[in-house]
Amino acid sequence: MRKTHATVQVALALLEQPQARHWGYDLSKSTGVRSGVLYPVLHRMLEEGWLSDGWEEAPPARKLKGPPRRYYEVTERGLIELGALLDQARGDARFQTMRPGLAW
Amino acid sequence: MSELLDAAVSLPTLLIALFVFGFAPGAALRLIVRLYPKGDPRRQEMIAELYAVPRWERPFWVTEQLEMALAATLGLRYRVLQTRWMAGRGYYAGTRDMLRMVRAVAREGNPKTSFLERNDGVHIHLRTLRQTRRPRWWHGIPSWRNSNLRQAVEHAMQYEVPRSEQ
Repeated sequence: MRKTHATVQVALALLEQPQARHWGYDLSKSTGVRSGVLYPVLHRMLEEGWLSDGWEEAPPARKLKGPPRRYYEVTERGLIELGALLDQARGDARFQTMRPGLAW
Repeated sequence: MSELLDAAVSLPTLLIALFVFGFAPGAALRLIVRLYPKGDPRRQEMIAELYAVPRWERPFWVTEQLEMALAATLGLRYRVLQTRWMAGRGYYAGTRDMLRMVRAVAREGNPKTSFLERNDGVHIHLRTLRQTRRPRWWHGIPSWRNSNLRQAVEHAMQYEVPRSEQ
């Protein structure tokens, strides 16, 4: 997968809480990556097997109205690959501006 | 509200976005997601995500979805159309070479090369097939040379792009 700022930002956000469920819009807010870029990135990660997806439970458990939302979870392989991606990004000059985020 | 105004490139853009996507963002989004192939989970995902987006952001969010859907599906739609077009070409020819062409198209969606290789090693240029095209009225109702050809064409006409290509 190509290393872009969006990919690295998303990888950072996913690995902040690797066991949690991640939602598309929430990821967009936390990373600052606009949705037109975020969803294709998530889709590619899904195809690579780095993420798994699922659908929210039945309405009573949900705060928001509307149909069930799709969530993403990091897989075992995803943990390894996303970690490797961040490792590569740390040594890449293009991502110098993101150093504080990459330093964790 | 100031963020809303800053996000817009110009006043006309803002007004158009508000008119097209702000009047009924849910309805606009339901039309947009139809660009994705049937059964694609993004159809439901985008509609569900809309309810998580604050109301004042929705027009711009829906605009982004239009951009994303076009970028993701235009190539796919083009390949499917091309597949059907080439299958339609094979429909009239009824030769064994055409059968191979249709099978290749059905298998790949869009052949990488403009040549097809026959079992005997002869390469057939697709341009030669193009020259064999005649208007529909010339042929009248086509008759099938054999059932294999018919099956191959029918398969190509119903060709679905695999999930990995979507």
